[in-house]
This record gives sequence, structure tokens and C-alpha cells, in this order.
Amino acid sequence: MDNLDHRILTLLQENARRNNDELATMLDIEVDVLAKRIESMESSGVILKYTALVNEQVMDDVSQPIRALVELNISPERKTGYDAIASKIYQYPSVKAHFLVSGQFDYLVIVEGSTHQEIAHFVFDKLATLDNVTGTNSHFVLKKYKENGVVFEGAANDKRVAVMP
Amino acid sequence: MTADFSQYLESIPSSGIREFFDLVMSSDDIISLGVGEPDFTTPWSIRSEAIYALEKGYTTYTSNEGLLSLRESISNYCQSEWGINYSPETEILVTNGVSEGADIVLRALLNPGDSVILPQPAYVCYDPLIKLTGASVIPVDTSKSNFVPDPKAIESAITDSTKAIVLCYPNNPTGQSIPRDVLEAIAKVAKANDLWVLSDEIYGELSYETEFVSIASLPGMKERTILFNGFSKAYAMTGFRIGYICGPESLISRATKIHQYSALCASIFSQMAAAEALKNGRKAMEEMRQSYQQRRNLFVEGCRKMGLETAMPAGAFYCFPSVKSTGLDSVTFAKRLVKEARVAVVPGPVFGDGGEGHIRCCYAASTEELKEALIRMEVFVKGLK
Repeated sequence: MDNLDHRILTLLQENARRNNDELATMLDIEVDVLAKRIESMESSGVILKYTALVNEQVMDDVSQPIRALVELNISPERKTGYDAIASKIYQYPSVKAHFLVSGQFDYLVIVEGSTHQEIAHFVFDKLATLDNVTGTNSHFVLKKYKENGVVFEGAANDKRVAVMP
Repeated sequence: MTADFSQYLESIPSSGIREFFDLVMSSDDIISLGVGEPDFTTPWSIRSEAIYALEKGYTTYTSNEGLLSLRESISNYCQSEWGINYSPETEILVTNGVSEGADIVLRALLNPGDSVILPQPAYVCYDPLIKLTGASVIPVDTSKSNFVPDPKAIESAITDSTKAIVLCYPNNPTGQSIPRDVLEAIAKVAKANDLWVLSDEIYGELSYETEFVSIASLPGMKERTILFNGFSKAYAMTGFRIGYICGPESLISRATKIHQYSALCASIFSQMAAAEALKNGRKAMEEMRQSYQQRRNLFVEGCRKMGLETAMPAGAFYCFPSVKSTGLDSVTFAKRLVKEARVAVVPGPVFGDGGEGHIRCCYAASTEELKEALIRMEVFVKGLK
């Protein structure tokens, strides 16, 4: 990874739908150089996937998913430590993100479901009952302000004077 | 009342471009590449410092020169950025942007009958501000030398009354900079003819492939150079109205004398925000610069593809395509572009000699807007043929 790779990543993270011609022009490099760089980052796993950042809060249907941030306390296993237990958790499709963190708890897990009950059942039945889980603490998300560097509401409109020498 | 006003002011014609600006301002649904400022909002850490200052009750005057702590930061910045050593006590004045700095320096320096060399195209304030002092402008058209001032042309424009050269590089509107060897040649001319150099370096930090060189950093030039800079462009702080001038004590003290009567001081919370910009704003500034550079590449290529000859800008966030191939003059092109393609640009002649045949496009707009503007411009240009 060099500076060019990082600049490519920054542009793709801003907008993954930019085509290669546009990216190559912006970075002042040849298109095939760019294509090779992206391919290499894809095959080495630096770029895992291209997804959409969705604001569920403005969906006009009632099927908005509900999210909870779940803190888990773990007693780690000898030899395999935290990773083996983690794999028993992150394989559930309703687990959208899973971090090992420092501080008062060990895992921070982001769980998604269609109702509060569904998430509650998942936490009680699937997570709290794991042998190594010694405690849980769930926080339901009430509102999303910012994700992946994008502010979800009240984005600034252009306040500039349209013409100025 | 008798209509007897300042004769110097009367000698300045009212801007012929007002009609065009009114046309843009009254048009809806346009993409404007006519703006003259960053599209970024001031970085939050800088804004929050201004808010904090207000919350803490910093609502007073400061010393005329500006907060000493800010001048000390500016002094360190000039040293680390451009290798120039200015005394915070005697060689730096905090102003309400470069515009005020230009006004008070010109008034401190010039007498009626003096003349000033002004390479053009250049930012619009210098010509009228020079004339308001009773001095005259000697324009030097840079369009023949790729919009980089030609030291020989400057030298041959010097008369007995010439007192100073004004340089505005990286340049608004062209985006061009002066390469080091040319700058050295200009410095030589200034020294040989004992001229002041007024160097407006407001876009200095926004230099792309080549590092910006301040003429004040060249040997023997600090003593005859007034450096103008500020926070508006590099730190996206246009609305804060905060800048500074650096130069020899003899001139700074005299400019301060005017400043203390006409402005008193720059706004205290803008000064505190500016100090935060210098302390913690560097990363944000560099990210903005990189973003401008990428959008420059995109926009310049688009202009070239539609057949408009466009020099690659070295800095600032403007490019200056030629519209000569369309057969239209700059103002006609710009007016029709607003009406027929809903894209606003600024006609080159607004910026003085050498601007005819060009339009200034500001690429501080989102890539989506730039791409849409390019599509609209291409349809318009193709339709002319």
C-alpha cells in the first residue's frame, strides 16, 4: 500500500460508483494502472465489497430495520482466546458488525432485526446463553446521525454567492 | 447637495460586468462555476473555536495589530511554510482579509503621480485601489506568456514614477503560478530598479505539483516585499474576513496607522478561529487541497475534450479556458452559457488586460456538478459550430 492506493481508496469510499476513467483522470494516472491497483486491492482483500450506504430513517415503508449495539462480557478460552467465541457470534446473519474492544466489556456487536422483540430474543436466546458469555448490555439505536463519515440529516446546502470575482 | 465627489473615485468606471452578474443572480437552476471561494464549510474545529470564543465572552476589541499570540503563530507559520522570518511585534499586521491589507498598504505607500506595475489578468481589487490613491496603473498583459509575467515585459514597463510591482500568484483567475527561475528574474528587476513588491499569496498553500515559493524568501527581497496572506482560501474561512500582511516595519507601522482609524482591529473571534486554523487545521487543509487537485484534473480534461484550449493550473481553484475557437467574445459566451446551458462562469475581461477570449471556471464544486456542467457546456459549444 502506498500513497496512491490510499488516494484511490479515499475516492472509492466517498463514492464507489465512480468509473475508472473518472478516477484515473482525477488521480492523473493511466486507466490500466488504476485498474491494476484496484484489482490488486480486491484480490488481497483490502477491498472486500462495494455496498450502498442506506438511510433507513427516510424510508417511506414500515419495514425499517431496528438496530441495537450489544455489549458482551466474555471469559476467553485457553489457546483460542476471543476469536473462536467470536466466530460463534458473527456467523449469525443478524449480526451486522462485531468488534473486540478495550474497556469495561469485550465485544461490541451490532445486531439488526425487524422488531425489538426479535432482537431481544436473539440476545437472550443466542448470545447470553453461550458458555463464555458472562454478561450482556443492549442499547437500541434511536436515531442515526452519522455513519461512514456521512451525516444523515441537515447536510449543508451551498450558501455561496453564485458569482464573485 | 452638489454632486461633487472624490475625483479619484469618479475616475474609476463602474463595473461593466454588473449586468452580467445580475443576470446570473436572477437565474434559477444554474450550476455556478462563477463562485470565488471554497465549497467546503470551515473545518469544524475552527468553527467551534469561534463559537467557544463567543461563549467565553470574547466580544471585545483587540490591539490594532491583532492578538500577539496570533501574530506569533503567523510568524512561525511563515518560517515553516516559506522560510521567512518576521517579527511578530513589528512586522506582522492582522487585517480584515487580504482586501483590507491591499487597501491600507497601497495607501501607506503611494502618492498621486506614482505608478504601479500590475500584471493582468489579476484579482479585481488592485486596479481601483491603486487609482484611489491618485497613483496610476501600468498593466502588463501576461496572456502572451502563458499567463506567467515576463520579467522583460515588467522591466520595459517601468517608468520614472514606478514605485511597486503587484504580483498575485497562484493567480485568480488563471490558476497559474510563477516558477522559481522567473520569480528570481522578477526579483532582480525589482532590486535593480529599487521597487517594492506587493505579493498577494492568498492561494499559496493551494499549490499542486510544485511547491509554492514566496518572493519574500528570495535573497534581498524581504526588505522590499509586502506579503499578503490570509485564511479565506486555504482554510475555507472567507466569511471570517481574516488575513495578514507581513513586511518591513517601516511600511507595516504606516499601514497600521491607517488600519487603526479605518478598521481598528479584526474581529476577535475570527482571530481566535484563525489561531486554531494554524494550530490544528493543517490536515483538513491538505485534504481540501488534494480534493481541489483531483477536481481540477477532471474539469480541465473535460474542457479540453470539448475543444476548449485550457492550460493546466498550478494552484488556486480556477481554470481559464480559451473560448476563442468558438468565435464568441468572453462576455457573449458567458451570457449565452447562462441563458442557454444554465452554467455560470466569469468572463475573462473582468480581470483586466489579457482576459479577453477566456472564461474563469471555479472547480470548487462537487464532482457531480462539474460533470453535469461539462455535459451542458459541451452541448452548448457543439451547438455553436
